Amino acid sequence: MYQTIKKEWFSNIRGDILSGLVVALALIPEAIAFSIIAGVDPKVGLYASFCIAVVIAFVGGRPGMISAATGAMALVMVTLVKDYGLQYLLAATLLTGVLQIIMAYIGVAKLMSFVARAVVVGFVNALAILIFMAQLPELTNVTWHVYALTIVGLGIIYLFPYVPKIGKILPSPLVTIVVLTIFVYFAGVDVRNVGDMGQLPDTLPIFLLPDIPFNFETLQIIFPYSIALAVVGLLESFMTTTIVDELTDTKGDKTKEARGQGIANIASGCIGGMAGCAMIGQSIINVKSGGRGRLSTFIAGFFLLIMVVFLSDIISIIPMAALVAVMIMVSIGTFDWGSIKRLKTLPLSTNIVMLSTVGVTVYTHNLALGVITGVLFASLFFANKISHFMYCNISYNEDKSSKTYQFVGQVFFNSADKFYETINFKEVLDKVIIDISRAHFWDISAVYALDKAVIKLRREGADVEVIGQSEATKTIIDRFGIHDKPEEIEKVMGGH
Amino acid sequence: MSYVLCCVDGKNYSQSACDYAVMISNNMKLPLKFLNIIEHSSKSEKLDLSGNIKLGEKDDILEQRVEEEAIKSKLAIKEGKELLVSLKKRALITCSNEITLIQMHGDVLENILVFQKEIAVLIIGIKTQENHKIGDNVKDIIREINKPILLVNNEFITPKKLLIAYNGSEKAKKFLKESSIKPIFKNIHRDIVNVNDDKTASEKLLNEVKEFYIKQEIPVEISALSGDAKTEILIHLSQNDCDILAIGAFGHSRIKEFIFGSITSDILAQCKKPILLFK
Repeated sequence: MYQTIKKEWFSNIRGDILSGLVVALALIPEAIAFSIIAGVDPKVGLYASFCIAVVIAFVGGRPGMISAATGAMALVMVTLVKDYGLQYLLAATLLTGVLQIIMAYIGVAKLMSFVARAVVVGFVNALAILIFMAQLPELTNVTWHVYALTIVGLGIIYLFPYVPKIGKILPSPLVTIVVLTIFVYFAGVDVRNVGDMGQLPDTLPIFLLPDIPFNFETLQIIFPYSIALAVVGLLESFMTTTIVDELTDTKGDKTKEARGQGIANIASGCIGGMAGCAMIGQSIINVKSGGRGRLSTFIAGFFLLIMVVFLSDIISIIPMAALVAVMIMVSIGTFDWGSIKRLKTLPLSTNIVMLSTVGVTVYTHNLALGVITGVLFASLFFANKISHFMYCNISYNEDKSSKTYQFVGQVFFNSADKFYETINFKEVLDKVIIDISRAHFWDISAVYALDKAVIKLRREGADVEVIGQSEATKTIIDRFGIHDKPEEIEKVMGGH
Repeated sequence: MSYVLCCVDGKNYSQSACDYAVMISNNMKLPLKFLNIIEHSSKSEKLDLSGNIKLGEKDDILEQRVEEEAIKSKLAIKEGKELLVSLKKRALITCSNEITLIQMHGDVLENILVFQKEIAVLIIGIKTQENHKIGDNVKDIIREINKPILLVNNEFITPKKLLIAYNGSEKAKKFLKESSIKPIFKNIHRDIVNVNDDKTASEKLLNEVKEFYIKQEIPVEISALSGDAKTEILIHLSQNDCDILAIGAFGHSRIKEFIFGSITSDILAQCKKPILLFK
């Protein structure tokens, strides 16, 4: 116990503090930008980011991962805020937390195994595209100054690290914000700034329950949003966990993370923050900057609040163009570029799964729907592939009056028709033997196809003998778990 | 099957630890295992606080980490192998039992815990400096492993005199019994001390032990000391030319240790002779 605490919190103090500071600086523009997407004051996103980061540092399951207010979540809550206002959002945030904790306890982490790799990649890419698209309102119907500032901002972000000595010490997004803010302030360029977007925090957050009627009607309004938020939040958190696991060669605890996300969201809702989850981009930045432990997440949240509360006057004059530049960077960094390079080499089915996830998400702005689409496609493709694992050996007796069909392989809903069609009903035979002792019948569709074939053959006047029927149908699997045993698997793969 | 496990990293008295391990293995008639652990750190040595992420950044970081770690691991494996082989060679000269070599990846403590049940005695070399602090790894091992541990902090000398800091606790009694059946150190003079301000209680306790050893025909000396346990034990150790200190490592809770300090950990930090910790 003590050891785990020491390892997760204090095994990398210097690296965690420095990376936490870098992340805190990068979190500010994100939190503001996502508040704007959700249609609430920047204050809501900033309080949420502070609270979620600090709480998750203690209760999360993946040390070194950064959680805060995110774009994925903000996109889900847009219509709720527009139609019902902030108080309902806070209530939905609380409910999201409760749902996530329930999901954690009923084993949602295990369900992640249904989300194929291609879906994960699609999710990440869709997220990157959505973050980018969310910047477009800031870039439409504006003067050329905004474009110029954004381009200069991006230039600083990507070129500043090449400056000798200071390039690797000063976070370039911070440099961008400082340079553009100073320029706009002193040159007097008339562009939109953060202050124009709504209220910034001027005090430390205080505890308050949402000001809404606690009745069934309220629940009806917020429940669909909370479910979507809970699902999207857990999906992105699990995916980020996987990424951080991969980068740091360590293993996170997804169930603990799910529960942690729930607790963090409840805490956020209680101090007037919006729902959030783990952030892919920020977590990558954290790892890149040397963050590995829980301390880095804590420092990120803590400094975010300190800076925001004490520097709110300065933050309000940051031009939106600077934030847009930072967000474009986050979007670019989140995008899984390797997946595009691999498009050519991967099978078409995998690419369709990935692209359909991206397409549905970008169209609906709902990552949960994108993932459901992707999972559905992936499952269908899988079923199709497995259905090819069935063939039939045909043999006759000497005078060709009796025919034996020996089926080998997997018979289930998708291959049942193929099974039925393999049998030639035109042939005049005295006897037909259907040997299914080496076939595996997975479901009732398979059994039905066999029954249908037997009936048709009998109508045609053939004597039908089915070999191995009892064993084959016995193995229709509804009881999971028994197949973990080697001898059971042997039965499935090698006949009975 | 139990065996003597000697953990070596090539940095801290590995040769000396090997010699003690061979001696103990011979004394206990148990096979000897050398364990070298390849520790991994995913931390990069390059400081990069530029805080930006570009296209394909994740893949780049992964690639960079993999490359850095691959080089480190390869080197560590090679050095570890060479060390193990050289130690085996050294051990073969005098060791009359089977010798096996193992290399494992991962955390030191986790790996030793895997072997916990089979370990008869664990031998580890530790760093020594003037009033040095015991490393976290060693502290964790002492806390978690419930087997006798010999901490080697000096060059090997054939031990002639063993100082046992005895407090009469159940654990200490058990250790005495066990070590008389299967002695870790053989043909060695035992010097038993008890630090207690109550002289009569101290004498009584020590006389019991003395009788116990006399029955076993093991040469023994007893001394009742009073004052600060840590200082008294260390002074006694150096004044009487004892070669090894045996002392109980008691399951201190962290909080207790934090508040009261721990005699054992203070002694560990200051003792110049190998220490046998029993549990």
